[in-house]
Amino acid sequence: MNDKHAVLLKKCVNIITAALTVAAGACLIVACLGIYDGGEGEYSRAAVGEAFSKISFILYLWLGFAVVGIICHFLVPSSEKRIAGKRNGINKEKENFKTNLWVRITLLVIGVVLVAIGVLAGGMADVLAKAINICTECVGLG
Amino acid sequence: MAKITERIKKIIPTRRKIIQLYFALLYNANLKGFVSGNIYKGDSKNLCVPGLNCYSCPGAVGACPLGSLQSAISSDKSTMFYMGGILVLFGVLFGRLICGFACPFGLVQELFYKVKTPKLKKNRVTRVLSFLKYAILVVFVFVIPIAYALRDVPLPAFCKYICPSGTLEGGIGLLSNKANEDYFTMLGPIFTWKFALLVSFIVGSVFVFRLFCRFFCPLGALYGLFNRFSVFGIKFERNKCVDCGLCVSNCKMDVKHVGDFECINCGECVDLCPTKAIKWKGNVFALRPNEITPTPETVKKQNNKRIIAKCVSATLMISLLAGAFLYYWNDSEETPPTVEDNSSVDVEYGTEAGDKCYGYELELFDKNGLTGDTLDPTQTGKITIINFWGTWCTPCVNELPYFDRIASEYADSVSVFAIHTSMAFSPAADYVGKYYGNSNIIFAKDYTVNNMEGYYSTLGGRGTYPYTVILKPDGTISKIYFSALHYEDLKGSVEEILKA
Repeated sequence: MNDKHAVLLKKCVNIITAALTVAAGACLIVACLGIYDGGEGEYSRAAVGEAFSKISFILYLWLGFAVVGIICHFLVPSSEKRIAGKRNGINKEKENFKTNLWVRITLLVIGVVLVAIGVLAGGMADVLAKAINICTECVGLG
Repeated sequence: MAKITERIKKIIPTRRKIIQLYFALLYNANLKGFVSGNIYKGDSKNLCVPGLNCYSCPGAVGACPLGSLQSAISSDKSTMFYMGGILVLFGVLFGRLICGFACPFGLVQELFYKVKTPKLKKNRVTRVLSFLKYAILVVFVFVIPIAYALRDVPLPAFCKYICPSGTLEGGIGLLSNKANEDYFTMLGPIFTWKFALLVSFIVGSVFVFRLFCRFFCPLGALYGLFNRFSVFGIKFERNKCVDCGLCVSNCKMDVKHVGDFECINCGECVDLCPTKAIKWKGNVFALRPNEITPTPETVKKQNNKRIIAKCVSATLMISLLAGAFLYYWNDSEETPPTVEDNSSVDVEYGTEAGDKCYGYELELFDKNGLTGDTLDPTQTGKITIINFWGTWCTPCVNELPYFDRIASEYADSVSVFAIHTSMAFSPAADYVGKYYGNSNIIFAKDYTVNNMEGYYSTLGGRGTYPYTVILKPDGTISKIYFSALHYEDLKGSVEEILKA
């Protein structure tokens, strides 16, 4: 296989992987909706297992092409193009070192003071109370 | 040979990837949690980790800054001070360096970006879209939680409706453990929505570099505001810049110039700059400009110092990670003490339906605070509904009216106990006084054992709130619910016991 064919193969693998990525994502979402609607809004381990077994072929296919794509990346010479330098929205503000220094010190002091006030007033307890219990909303339970 | 060496160098992860993986492991050092399916409940969860890492992940050893911030908004002022101070400190010290080096979800996105597909290049549209995360910060992190907090309903809107880290680390992390099979019954439309969103972010990350970070992450938006003033990160020296544009054009983020709000301080532009105008900040909290220009004589000395510094820091970091793994693996939870009815030695106590329920003399409280009285929920002689709740818990607060209704409709045959967590107890009395001053519900306070809610844990609670246990008049367990209930569920359970 010459370089031209190898580069073409690499491009094809990339495009197929892209299509499979979108398809796999769509299958996962459809499977999730199917579990929810099919089971009258109820999930179960068995239902999840069954859905996964139905769409597993596309996930394995995706994995296969992803691996092939990565291998092609190393085996096939790549044509890295450095984009020519362009002028892109230059920041006209001059960096004033002393201003930054005072802002940093002020923010550091504010941060330390706020934390100290919060800790002394018992603010950490609320953080701990939330953190040591499962946030059912955050993880989609309930 | 040179080609092979070059290709091997491409395989080896970069230093930044290694640091990202390191922090992902450090944030989730509670390996025992992945085995047991329980989340960590130790004191280290008083502290927030800098990156986006859900505290409901079984391995998480620290609190999530965004989740804690939203929780603080609906709590009292002291928590707001604490969280505000933490975020200001993280921002001013590191800015978006946290995004580039210390965010697990950022790492996940970058790994998926490595899948070889056509990629979406940044353009004016992506630049405009990058402002969406500021809108999400304002609306979902501040406005919605504040609006609900004014009605005494805690609602972490970003966590509930958007956060993919919660779905991936918390939801899938918990559900993938067989010990948490009961949680499947709690899945509903919110999980379906969040799962679809998670898949969309991950699929999108294959084509768009750091899709979530660039367009949706409010934490990145918050840290980005501090980027210019951060002590550590990328420094841009304007006087050396020749405006070649290599840094901006090669950057995958939507930066207008190096070090602006969108810059994640990954450092990939440092080597690109032909005039060395881009450097890392440092030098004793950057109190003086980075003006070191190495001469040929000092290069060798600096290289030696650099190697020693690298070895020492690598050793310290590996020791810290290994120490964390060992510490959290050996940190065991004690079983809280229980009180049993000694009148009959043949009775089997337990936490399953049909078992005799453990009893405990719980402290009662009302709108004025603790009353000084105690009551054992298992000794009422009536059907007893024991509900564990907290003012910080949205579903708990939303279902209390149903318990109130049951308590008043079945006052002769049912006792309803609403047991508030002992942690974050301070707003409970005011809340009860405001909304349930004349209720038939008996409000009680749980007791604490090693950061665990004592009676809740005794009755089989595993960290999810609300948690409801329904007892028959003889004190045996009839039903257990792990999720929020509606009036019909409660009524049905009560009627079932009454008919029997």
